[in-house]
Amino acid sequence: MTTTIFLKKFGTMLISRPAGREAWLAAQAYSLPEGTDSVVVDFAEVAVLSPSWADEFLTPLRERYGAENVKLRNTENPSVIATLETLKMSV
Amino acid sequence: MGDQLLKKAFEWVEHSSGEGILSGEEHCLTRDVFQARLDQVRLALEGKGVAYTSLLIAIIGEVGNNAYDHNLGNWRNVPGTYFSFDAEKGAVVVADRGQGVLKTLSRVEPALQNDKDALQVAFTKTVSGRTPERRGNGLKFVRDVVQSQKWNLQFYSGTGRAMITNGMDIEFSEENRDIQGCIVFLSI
Repeated sequence: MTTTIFLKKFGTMLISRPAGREAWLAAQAYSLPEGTDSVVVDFAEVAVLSPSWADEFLTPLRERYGAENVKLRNTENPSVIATLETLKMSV
Repeated sequence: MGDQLLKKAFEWVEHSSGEGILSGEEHCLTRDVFQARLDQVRLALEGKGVAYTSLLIAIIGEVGNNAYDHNLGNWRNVPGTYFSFDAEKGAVVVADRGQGVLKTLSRVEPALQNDKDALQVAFTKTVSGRTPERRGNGLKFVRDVVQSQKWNLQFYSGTGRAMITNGMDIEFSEENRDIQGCIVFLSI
């Protein structure tokens, strides 16, 4: 089953590690139902993303489901592009 | 005015107690206050249709959050950051009275000899004083964005200074003044 996570639901300015860690904990509890084997992460309407937040959320997400099973969508925001480049994550 | 931000940052960080220098609007005692003010800057820039808003806010967020991440429970005395943004001049300052980069990184890089080398590691290697947590990309991200946008950066900690001018290669130097904490000055 593929689950889509809309990051705007965690906020539009995603910049700190504590917030990213909290978002990952919440996502595990409420946004990633049992049976999920692939995930689409949707960045639509995210105003700002930084590597700190992304590292706390996307890195464990990719570790849990496998990088090949985590797709990134709507990544046009410049800070999203720069963050993904820094973390060496391809769309 | 941009220079005034930097001058005030030095004044605050070099002051013995750190008290009585910053206004309530300039001093972000906690991370929540810093983020709320950063969001205000973002909204103001977005309202003006400034194209680079997301990148600018992302790197200010990285350096500001670094101050809280690495100094929690270890502030020299006054906690928090001095954060000020001059929209007219396109200048930003974020400063803290914390441990500084050398002390932070010495835990994981005990061979580091001086502040200049510590800054070089911080800006060029993926390493963090908060190992084993996943960390250490923040200042590389800041460097990459500043260079790609051809902005200017001055980062002071201890006697070290990292500097990017008009997006050119980053340069590291030893300075005469000794900054107990960090001062980051960005101009666009």
